[in-house]
Amino acid sequence: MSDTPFPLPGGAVGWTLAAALPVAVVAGWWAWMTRPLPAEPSPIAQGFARTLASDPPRVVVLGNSIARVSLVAPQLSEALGLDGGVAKLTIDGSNSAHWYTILEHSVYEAGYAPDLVLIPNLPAYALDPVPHSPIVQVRLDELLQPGDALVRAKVRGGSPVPWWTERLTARRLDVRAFVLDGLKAASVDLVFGGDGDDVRSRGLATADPALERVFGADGAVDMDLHAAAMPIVEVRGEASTDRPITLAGSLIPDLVQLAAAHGSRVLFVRMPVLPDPEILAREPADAVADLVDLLNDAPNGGYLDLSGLPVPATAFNDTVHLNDLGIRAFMDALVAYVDEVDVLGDTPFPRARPPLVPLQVGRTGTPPPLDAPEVRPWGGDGLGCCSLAVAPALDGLDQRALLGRGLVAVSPVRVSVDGTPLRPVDALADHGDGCQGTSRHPRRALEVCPTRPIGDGAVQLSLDPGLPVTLDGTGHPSWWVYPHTAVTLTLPALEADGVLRAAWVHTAGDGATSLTVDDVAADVDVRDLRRVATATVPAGRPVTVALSSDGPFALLQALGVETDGQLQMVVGSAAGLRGLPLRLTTGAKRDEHVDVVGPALPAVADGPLQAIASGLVLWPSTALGAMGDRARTGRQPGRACNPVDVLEDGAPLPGPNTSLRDLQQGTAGYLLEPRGVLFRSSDGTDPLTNGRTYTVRRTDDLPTPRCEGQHWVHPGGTLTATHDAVGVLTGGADVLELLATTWGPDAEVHVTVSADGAPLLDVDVDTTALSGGLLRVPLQRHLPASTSAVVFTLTVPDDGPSLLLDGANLVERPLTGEVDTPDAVAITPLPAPPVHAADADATVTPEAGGLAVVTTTTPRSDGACLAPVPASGKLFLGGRITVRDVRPPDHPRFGAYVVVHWLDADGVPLRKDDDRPLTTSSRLAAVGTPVDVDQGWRVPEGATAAQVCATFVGATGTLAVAALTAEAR
Amino acid sequence: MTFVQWQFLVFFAIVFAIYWSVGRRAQNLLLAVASAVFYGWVHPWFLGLLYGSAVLDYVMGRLMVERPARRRLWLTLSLAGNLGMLGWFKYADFFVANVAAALDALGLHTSLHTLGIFLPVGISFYTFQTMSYTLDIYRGQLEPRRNFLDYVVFVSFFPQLVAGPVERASNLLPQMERERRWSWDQLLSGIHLAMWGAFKKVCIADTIAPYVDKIFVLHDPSGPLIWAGTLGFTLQILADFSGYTDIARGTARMLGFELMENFRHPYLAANPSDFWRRWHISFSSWIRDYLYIPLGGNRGGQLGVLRSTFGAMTLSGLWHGASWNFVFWGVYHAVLLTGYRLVTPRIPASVRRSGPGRVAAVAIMFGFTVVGWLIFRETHGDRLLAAFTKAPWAASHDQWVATVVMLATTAAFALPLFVALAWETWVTPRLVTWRGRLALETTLWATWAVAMATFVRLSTTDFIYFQF
Repeated sequence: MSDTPFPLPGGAVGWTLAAALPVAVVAGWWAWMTRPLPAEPSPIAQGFARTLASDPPRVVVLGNSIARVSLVAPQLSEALGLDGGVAKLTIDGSNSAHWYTILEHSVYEAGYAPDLVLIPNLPAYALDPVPHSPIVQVRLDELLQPGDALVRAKVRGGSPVPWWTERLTARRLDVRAFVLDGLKAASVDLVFGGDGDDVRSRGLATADPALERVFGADGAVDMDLHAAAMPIVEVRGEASTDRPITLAGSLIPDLVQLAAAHGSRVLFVRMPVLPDPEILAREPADAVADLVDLLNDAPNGGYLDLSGLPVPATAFNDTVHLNDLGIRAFMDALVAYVDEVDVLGDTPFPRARPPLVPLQVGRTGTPPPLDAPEVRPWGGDGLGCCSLAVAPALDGLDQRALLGRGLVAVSPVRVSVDGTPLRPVDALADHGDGCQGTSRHPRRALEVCPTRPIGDGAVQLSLDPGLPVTLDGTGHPSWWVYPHTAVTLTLPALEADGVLRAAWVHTAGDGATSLTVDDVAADVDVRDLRRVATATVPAGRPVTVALSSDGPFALLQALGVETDGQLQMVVGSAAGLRGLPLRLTTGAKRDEHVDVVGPALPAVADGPLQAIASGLVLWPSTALGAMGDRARTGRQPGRACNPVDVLEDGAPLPGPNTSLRDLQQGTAGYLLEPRGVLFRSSDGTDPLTNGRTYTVRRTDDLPTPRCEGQHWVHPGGTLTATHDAVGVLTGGADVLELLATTWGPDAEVHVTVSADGAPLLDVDVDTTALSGGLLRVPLQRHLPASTSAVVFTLTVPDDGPSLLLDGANLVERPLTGEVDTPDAVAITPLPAPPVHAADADATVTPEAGGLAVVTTTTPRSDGACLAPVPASGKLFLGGRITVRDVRPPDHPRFGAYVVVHWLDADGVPLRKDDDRPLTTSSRLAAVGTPVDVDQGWRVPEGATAAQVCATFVGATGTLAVAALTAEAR
Repeated sequence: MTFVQWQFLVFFAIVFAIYWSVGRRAQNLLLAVASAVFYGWVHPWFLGLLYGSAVLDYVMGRLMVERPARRRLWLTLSLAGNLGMLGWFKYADFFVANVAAALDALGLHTSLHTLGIFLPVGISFYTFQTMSYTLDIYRGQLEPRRNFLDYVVFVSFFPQLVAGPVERASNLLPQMERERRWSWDQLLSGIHLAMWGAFKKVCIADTIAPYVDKIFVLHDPSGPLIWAGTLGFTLQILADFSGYTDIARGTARMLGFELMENFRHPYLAANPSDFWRRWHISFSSWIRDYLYIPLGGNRGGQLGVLRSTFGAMTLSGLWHGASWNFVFWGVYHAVLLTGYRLVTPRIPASVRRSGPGRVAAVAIMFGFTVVGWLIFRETHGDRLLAAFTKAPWAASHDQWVATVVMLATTAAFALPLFVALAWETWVTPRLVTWRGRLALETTLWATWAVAMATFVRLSTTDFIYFQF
């Protein structure tokens, strides 16, 4: 366009047109660009629409898989006196972003007006609106409609944008895509042609794949040039997942408001979980308190905390999902609540009690100073100025050791170099170039990274005085109790008398811990390294709770006060009051190995093969069919896994569990259904006429994911599960829990548990006991937390049934008040430990549970001894001994010992050069608490046998020997 | 702040409203303040360099007149100061990197590292602009100014500060010093120019840019794809640069100033010399007047012309960026100019002046220009060499598809330029006196505005939606 000046209009018309025409252009563009965007309901939304249309709800249940699994709609409906009327609108993996959207679009905009919106879930999912996987994001995207600015903003972490911004943005992109794609399609279609109905589809069908291969293939783009030429951008929809979880950042307040605007009440039910570190680490304590306040203050809000529901560990399929047992307990609690509270009416919900905030927290006492560590170079790919520092006294305080025990905590160890404190960090990358003045305690050796190489500098260790201990304000708040110190919390006055419950774990060091409430000692249940305490807390005045240690490092996992059936947590969450089970066959994340060895049994058909459809044949067997894909086990409907192989001339057909539709459409494979085995041959020919031999057999060789941790054990088969590193059992284990179903004649299955070679259980269990549900069998001896290898076996006799083992767990002794379970079967106790009195001064008394109590009244008695065992190489000693009543107490040398007498080939004790007996001994220093004996010694030259004795030297007292074994390797 | 940000619209509206309600002195003060705000918007410390350069040349200019005996010294100081500043900020790292590379090649390993010096925007333009002031004074073609405010406004005038035109003091200073009269004609034509420039920048250049970028970051693009991308770049650079200049001229015109024309249909040039009379006119004329002619210009025989041409064009190339490809581009154009001088006399004038001859000349020159743009765009020497050695017809099917798409998109987005040329040539003369023209223009502006609002790239959102 040139710079030629142009004339002005001469009259009003000209001026009017000059003003009006551009306005018309802009207005028309605006109107077209901001018109409502079309919305296509997603399949999920369509499904919800059908659900709601079939039974208009008075109660809408929102949530993810937790809600889907846990909430039994018919039972709730019956409890509420409704005929149906409970609609579950759940999406696995979803969070409050989905729930708000569902409520807005699928429920209210569709014209439904439920009385109650029920959200059974975890606060971590409810309060974090960010989808944490692409699939979950896609599900949200499908639900969202144009104009859902609020949800998009909260997911993104920003403020909602005006409605027209979203429409403009969408239309702009559509127009540009239309123009540019149109050019692309037209030019390519013109030059290359293609297949398709129109120019656009033909052109794009040719262009897009070609362009993807040119520009999108691996290695096509030089990324250095790319970074310089084009900005790095975020993919749309992925918001930062690092921002803190807050109530305001979630869609919960908006959901409550939305419900209120439509006359609905909202009840959030906090679900119980297992104390999995990953789950506990995500608990946003402050946000939970805000959530409780919100729901308490909202006229239509209610909060029911069932996180403290006393369900056993085996009530969970995994850390968050309840199984049938847990679901029954949950539903009973929910029904009890709705019986008491008019959830559908107008009466306000009872006020929930938020977490208790201590009036004061503090430490008293001075921990002993930490020795200077041994400093070593950081070899290999050492980082910057970093070195390693090792201090054996701190074993058990590092992240790995803590996590190995299922403990969510940060190390309390702090490092200084030449008096300059280093900043504790969490990840290796936080060291940066290695000279940032940081430290880290991921494993036994501390990573020490001052701002310059240590050289001759002095590395000092100390303990973080903070309470709780964090990593500079990040990381899981950890309530550490140091040796010879106490942690005190002053709780605010309660409205009613309550019961304090606390759980803590010894992590390193020897000694005892105790908990007091206003200086009154609480009842402490010692479970190996784990302590669980209860105490009465009077109402009306603040009380001081003190957890003190006279030796060990302790980590306070959870502390709460239960009042009127409601548990208010002060430290940690209710889950922390539970012990983590050791899952022998299901759900274990590490060190699980399950083998099932047994014969592949041929199965007997009820009759000849039956033609079902062309090429599709039924091998009839209702006995087998009862174990099939669609069989209802009564536990998790549809979760049964198919124990059957189908062989065609000896070669297995594809399968198991080929879907019925695939079989009907001609795919080779098989399916076990209630009538028997439905199968199609490998090449589609009719099994009735193709002349081949078809064999069906029961097998245990199945893909594990299909069976989701369940295991078949058939007659003659033995399941063996080995488990290393049982550290999560900080409380040790005293009970074996079994959950199984059987098909076939009742019989006795043989069950054993051993730990580090020592037998803990050896019983025969009648399968009728298993059919009653969860079976709990006390171990004959305690399994200590220090156990390094557990072996569980279950053997089905040849004339027994097929058994589907849902799970076998080792757990601590149950908390009081847990859900009733069927009585354990009577078991035959094992013989007492093979310990005998070695001399007249020692008395060995068998006690219930297989204990042997050794009492000696004479110092330097030989105490109680095992029979001599052959010894070569190394001798390993294991066991559990409790020392009591030592006299003289606190002597530096005299006390209880484990003594090994080395014997020659004739059984004569070896002697040293000075004619003293050649022995090796280990002092049992702890008094009053069980000591795990875990020793290994090299067998001296000349010795061919060893006799192990537990005795007192220079002292008298009582040794309670729960286990003592010696083994040479 | 850039011309195509909404912040500039608000900024300019405020400046415009106040500007036309005050007198000249206040206007100049307003312009000085507005220019400081505009330039210092992102990095206020840039203003130090700008005013430093301005003060230096103001003082040197005064000294050249007040102490003429040492005029050469004052000029030297001016040139040294400006070129030193330019050299430091623009070329220091380039120099260090090349010295280190050369020493390494000789086996002398050094620990030289580039300094990561941040390049202040527009420094190449305003240093040349202030140098033209002192050079003109030195030559006696201009009187040094006493009024520092007017001078500062000349140096820092925001419409042309960051991307030209490189104004001559003799053109712009007098405009700063006289009264500006309001004129509807001036306003409307200024709006027109600015809107057209913005349309070219936003809708054409910024739309083509990602296509070009995607081709030039491929590891191994085929010959046809490279040349298709280069054609796209040919369109992009014209639309971008001329668009920005038009915005500058349009906004200046709205304020009563007339900046020099910078682009005159450069791709219609019939020869290299013609090209440089059409492309970045303000810069090429600066080079001609202050570099080429002082180097000898057309004097000194063929060798002299050769020296002047190569010297001027090499430095022209280097001015565009601290990279060897820009130097090569300058040398390339020097070769073209030299070649033109050698070859043209051998072509009969009748052929050169005939219609087909002229068309052929334009087409050939366009081809040479495109080749030059490949040198300009591809900053990596090895890739540049590879681009020239690849057969321009050999490609896989997929690469041909990409080539066709690139060519089609380039052609489609070049269409508005052709339409504009045709309109200007055949329609505008017929509408000169048409009273309804304003309605047509405002409608056109509205159309450009909605097109820009539709096609503007809002960085993050748009890049992720870009599919080739």
